[in-house]
Amino acid sequence: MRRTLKALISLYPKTWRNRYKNEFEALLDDVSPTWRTLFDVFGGALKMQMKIWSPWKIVAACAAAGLLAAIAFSLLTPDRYVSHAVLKIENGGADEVNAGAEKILSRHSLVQLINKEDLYKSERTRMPIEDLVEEMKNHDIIIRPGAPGEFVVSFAAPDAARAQRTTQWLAAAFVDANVGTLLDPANLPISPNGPRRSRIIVLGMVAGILAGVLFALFNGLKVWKLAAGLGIAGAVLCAAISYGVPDSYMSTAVVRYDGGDAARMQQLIHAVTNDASLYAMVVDFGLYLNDPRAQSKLREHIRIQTSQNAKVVMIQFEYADRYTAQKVTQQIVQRLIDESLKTDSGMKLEMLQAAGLPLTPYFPYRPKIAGYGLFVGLACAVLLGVRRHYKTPLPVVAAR
Amino acid sequence: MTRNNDPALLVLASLADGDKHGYAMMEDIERFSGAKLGPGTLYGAITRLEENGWIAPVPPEDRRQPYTLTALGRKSLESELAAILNVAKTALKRLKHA
Repeated sequence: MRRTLKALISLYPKTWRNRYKNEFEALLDDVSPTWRTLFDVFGGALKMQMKIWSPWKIVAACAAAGLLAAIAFSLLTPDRYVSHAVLKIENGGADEVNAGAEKILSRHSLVQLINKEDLYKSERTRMPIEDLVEEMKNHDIIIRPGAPGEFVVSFAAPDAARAQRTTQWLAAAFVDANVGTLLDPANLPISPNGPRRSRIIVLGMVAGILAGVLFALFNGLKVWKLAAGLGIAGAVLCAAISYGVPDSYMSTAVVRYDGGDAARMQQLIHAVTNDASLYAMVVDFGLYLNDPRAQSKLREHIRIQTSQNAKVVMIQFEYADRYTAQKVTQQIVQRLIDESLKTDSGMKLEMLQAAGLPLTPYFPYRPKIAGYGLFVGLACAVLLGVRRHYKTPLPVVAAR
Repeated sequence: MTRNNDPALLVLASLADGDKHGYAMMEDIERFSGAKLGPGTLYGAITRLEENGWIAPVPPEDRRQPYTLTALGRKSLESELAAILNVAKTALKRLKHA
């Protein structure tokens, strides 16, 4: 450890080492090397470096440290794949599902499942099985209501196949217990649901920049007071602007189709979103009053996404009034169902998720906008600081 | 005003009774204040004090570098201690009358 301790001297600035290296080495020979001493010498080197660094260098170093820490954290956090199965409630309602879930999620049956699917391999070496069962029940298995008369069983695992197999096992257990019948079998998740690495990395970098600015600020460097001011001003300004932007709510419905192909579904969507149909909706719901572009605006705010493999269609509509957003979404779904019944194509549409009443605005997401403002303010200050740094003439050293 | 566990103040206090090198300062400080200064912290304070002209190196006998309190350092230490003493006296007086 003494060698490591001495090696840390190289982390001190060169000018400092030229003056103090020999005597500092002599002191390190005298002290007993401990972890505390090691951290103290490392901290001393860091402080001494910070003393000679320019503010923008401190911010850059902190940003890099934040970035590296965030990358390491995001890489160490395992992927999380979520598989879903949809079941129709066989008898009774939610109480029946809850009673069934209680039996299926018993300690005995979950321990069996853990062993069968070899779940939580690394966790099993350091955690008691009771804790794992609780973790599984509370975090990884999700049983939630779906469309009317249906419920969804999900399981999250670090690999997709295991997530699917476990969800299949859980769904089969509900079927065996006569709680539900399988409508949609457990899917094989293609991409992980988390962690959101790009978000973690950006957050890490922003946190690093903020820490750097604060550090520089507390070091009494005036230019970084400007940075804090600009950052706060950016956040406040953007938040204020975002309050001037009207709220917009999005309602979402999901339907599944059977007995037809994707091309047929596209025909139905086209029939529902043609000019005549949109005009009727504008008139019926009084959308975009007095706006000559009402029809094209309605088209812009309707989003219909189809998934060919799962034969699922997601219908979304965004509007300034939450109730209208829900009603229009319901109307689009109803028209799709009506269109499918009109023609004798054998296509059957089934509601998986009814159009919900959106409670919070979809846009603008104000904390995010304020965060962007803060970031832009800080970035401006950093640029300003760099510009000042290079424009400031070097002080003239008076001859002694 | 510096805190009474400020490493710089502790170093000045340690040098008040004579010249000392780093390790001797560490032991002395631990003895009279109970504070265990690490080598990094000690040399951070020494660097700062030398830059301010409050302490100065004296010719070494071996690899260990002793330091001495300068006249400016002595004056600063006296004013710091007077301020601390004033606070302590006032607080004690108030405690007695409370």
